[in-house]
Amino acid sequence: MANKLAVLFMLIIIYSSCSTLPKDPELAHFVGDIYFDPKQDDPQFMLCDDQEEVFQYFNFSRGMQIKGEKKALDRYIKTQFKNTKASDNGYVRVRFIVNCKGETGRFRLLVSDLQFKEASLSKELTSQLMQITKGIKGWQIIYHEGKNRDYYQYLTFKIVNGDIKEILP
Amino acid sequence: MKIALILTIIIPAILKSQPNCEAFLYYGDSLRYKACKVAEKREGHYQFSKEYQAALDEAIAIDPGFAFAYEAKSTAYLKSGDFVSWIELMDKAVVLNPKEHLSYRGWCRYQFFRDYEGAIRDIEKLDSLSKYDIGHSVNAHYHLHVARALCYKALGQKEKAIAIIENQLALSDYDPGLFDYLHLGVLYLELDNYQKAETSLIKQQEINDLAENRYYLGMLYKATKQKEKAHRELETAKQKYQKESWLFDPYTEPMDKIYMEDIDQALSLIDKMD
Repeated sequence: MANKLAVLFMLIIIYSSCSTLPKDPELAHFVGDIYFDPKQDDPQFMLCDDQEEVFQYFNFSRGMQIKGEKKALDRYIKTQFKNTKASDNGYVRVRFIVNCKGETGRFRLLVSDLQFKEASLSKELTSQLMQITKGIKGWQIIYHEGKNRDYYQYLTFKIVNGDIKEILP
Repeated sequence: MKIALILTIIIPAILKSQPNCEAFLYYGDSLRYKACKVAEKREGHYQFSKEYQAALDEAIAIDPGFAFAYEAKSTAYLKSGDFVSWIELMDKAVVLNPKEHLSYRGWCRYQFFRDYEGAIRDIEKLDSLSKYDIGHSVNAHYHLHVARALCYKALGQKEKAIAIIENQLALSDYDPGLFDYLHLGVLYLELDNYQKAETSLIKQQEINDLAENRYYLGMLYKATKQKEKAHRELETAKQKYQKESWLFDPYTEPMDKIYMEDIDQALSLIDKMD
């Protein structure tokens, strides 16, 4: 019995150490780390370096890096977006990783009201913004300190009466 | 100009620096002194790191009234776009010490979220509490009254925005910010006051010559049918843009920023002018 318990204990330890999805966000190395979640992430999307080496977009001191600059990004989003219901008011953030090949993955959603308190906006709105963000092409590959890097990027949409008022950052 | 640039680097460092722990001890607040010393453990660690955040958590556990620790913790959440966690931390800091923390919350509301009403509310509240100058944004690029003016502009109150910036610039002890005259010039241009727009944009050129002030000056000359001058300014704007002499912030896209596409479109319109 003791041996069985020991084996079970070992299996739990091994499983915990291999899992890429921490049970507790406090275990993340950095604020906002996005770990692979098989329930929502594309397994084909790969990081080029370790999770701990994913940069933030602003670490390169060049702002948001996208083909055609933010003007092209705004235009693309606005042509894709269709207004939702007037009761949709708040902020929607979609955060993701751009890998060293310029591919995107691990998209995560955060939604609040206009006072930044966590809230629910319509599924029609949030799904639409998620799909539009996933469809954006042209994120730049960033070469930094000897190689192309993975980095976190996000877009925050300020929504007023079901329409996009601002695209940030 | 050099002084302004140096201040741009130094002031944020001062504003975000650790409080003097010894001062708490001097005033007999040994609990805050202890929390403050624990918070020092974050030094040398990246804002986003577990070590940085853990040191501040420990400080808060010792002294939940230590407002500085909440603001210091909030920055990584702000920069990662987690506005829910950011506001939770900043609201605590502001409740505990509004005079110290309203400026950061107000500025960030504007810079990161274009929450113009919220930014105005925070800055005006700070102004009502302060006997002295309310100071600059955390990146030192804007006096908070100029930031407030930009918020009014975004809400459609352009005359009010102009009045606030003009009042600020008229103060005898105020050195114009790196972008004050640019925004003032754009405001005048948007209200078709070409004479004042030209004066402001040329002043911006003297203080901090960017692609933006050249572009807007070009647009002014286009509007006043001065084709050659317009072409010259837009070509200069293009050169400056190519050399990355532009309105820039590493985190967000500043108000009145222009892009290469804007310059190219304007040049093509100028070429079609009679």
